[in-house]
Amino acid sequence: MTSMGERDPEGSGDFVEIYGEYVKPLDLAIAFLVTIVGGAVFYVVAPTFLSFISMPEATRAPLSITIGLIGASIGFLVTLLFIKPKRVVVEG
Amino acid sequence: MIGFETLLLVVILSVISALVYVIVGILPGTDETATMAPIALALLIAGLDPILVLAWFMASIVAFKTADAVPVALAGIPGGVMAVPQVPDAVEAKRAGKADVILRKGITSSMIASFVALILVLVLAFYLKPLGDFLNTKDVVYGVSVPRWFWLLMAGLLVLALTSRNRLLALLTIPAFAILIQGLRLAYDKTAIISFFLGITIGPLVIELLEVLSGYARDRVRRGYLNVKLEPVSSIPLNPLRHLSREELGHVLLWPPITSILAMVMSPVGLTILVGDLLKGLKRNPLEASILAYTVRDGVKNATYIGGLLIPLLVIGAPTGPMSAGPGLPFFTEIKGVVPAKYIMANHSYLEIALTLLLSTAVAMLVAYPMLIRYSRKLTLLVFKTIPAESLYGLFLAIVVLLAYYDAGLRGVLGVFMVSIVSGILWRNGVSLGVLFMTLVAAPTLFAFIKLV
Repeated sequence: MTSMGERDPEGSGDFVEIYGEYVKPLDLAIAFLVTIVGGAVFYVVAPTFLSFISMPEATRAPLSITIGLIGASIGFLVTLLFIKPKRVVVEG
Repeated sequence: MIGFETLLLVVILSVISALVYVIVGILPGTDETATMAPIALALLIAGLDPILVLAWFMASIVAFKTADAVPVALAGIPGGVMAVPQVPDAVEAKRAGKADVILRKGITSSMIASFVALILVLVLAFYLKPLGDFLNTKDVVYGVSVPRWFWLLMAGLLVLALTSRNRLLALLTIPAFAILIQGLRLAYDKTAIISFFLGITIGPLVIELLEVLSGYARDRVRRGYLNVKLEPVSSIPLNPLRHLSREELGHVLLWPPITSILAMVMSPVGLTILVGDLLKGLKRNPLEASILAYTVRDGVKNATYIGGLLIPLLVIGAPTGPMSAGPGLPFFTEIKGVVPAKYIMANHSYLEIALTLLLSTAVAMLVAYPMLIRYSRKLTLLVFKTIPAESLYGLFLAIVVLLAYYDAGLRGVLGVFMVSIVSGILWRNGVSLGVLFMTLVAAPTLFAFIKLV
């Protein structure tokens, strides 16, 4: 058997099981904050950006939420850099 | 009229959707409604043509409902709520060293069932279309104007409540939840639906989080990482004809089409459990029974999602069951004065819609099938090692907050929070979320009747 994941830090900290996954509440809070801040910043800045590129006013609102969701997705990708999965995969 | 550009967009969106939802499907703990509906909703709000969003959604159904059984076969972990009924049979097969056998049978069954169910649903919906006018006619009952499809919705709602784990609470919830929704709508000063829908969707996640953060969930505290044992898989041939026995193929051609029609008003999870249990009764050997049930259930999952969405969408234009009122609700929700389901039917011919659906399904199959048959183990390893649950849950919650704010400002965000707490507590106490989704759709008419008393 080969261990393929992160080294199991037995005793290094408590996790909680949510939907069958082990989750560190602090990491979840950080992930949510980073993602929502990414989304909110893009959503707030979007109307100014859209008016700057002369986008008609009627399409600014729906495009703003799209840009906000792009911001949230970027936030999600950023969290992948510093939050590690709490799984040890053992190949049988 | 759908031109070349639109067809090209259908192909591109279907490829992206299939790739994204293969990964989402493999990830454990990804609820179907929570992962599929907000993205579809966001695309619709962004102003993408509803028929393109429908193509995206079809591809996501095919990819997600095929990939969610991969971690079940390899590790005994469901990749979505619909895959939970397959876990005991997968454990039985794994014990006998048959992980790769159920893996290839399940994936093949999903593919065949998706295609057969789609063809059947398209033909059936075409002939049922005249029924749509009848069901959309409004009658005045005790002074309340009621479309006839409302009674179909109520029949499905009552069946779902009576088959919920806690049927008494589920029945009592229907009028009470309708009052909550209509009361919040008064506070919003508008007939909002998006933030309530999202609130129900994330209810289970929010209640689990709140319990954990409030220190009420000591029994869910774990030390050390989650150990996942991945079963070995031998090389699997790409030819799908070599994966199923004649008997299995017969059941895959029979049960998924039947359940795709029943899913118009019945619960997809309920049908998946029911068909698997029926088939297990046919076999004396427990291993053979488990393999057959696992295989056919994999196909039933895809078929119920396809029929549960498309029959109400193509025939009635209103949600009538847990699928259309759940993961598929964005298509029946008024967005900037337009209901996407009605827009699709009014602006495209039936042939155009059918071709779009067939194209998106075919593209999703061409992307998902070889990926999952050839690289399921490598993909599972990669996904398990690189994507943390925290990032994924954080993304879902952030999308919900953004969409709720867009829907109704701070009131929308607080409304989502309120509805998610109530939904989470009811779910925890044995009320199916489908009951809440369907009550949300029925709430205005139900409230009008309640006011009479």
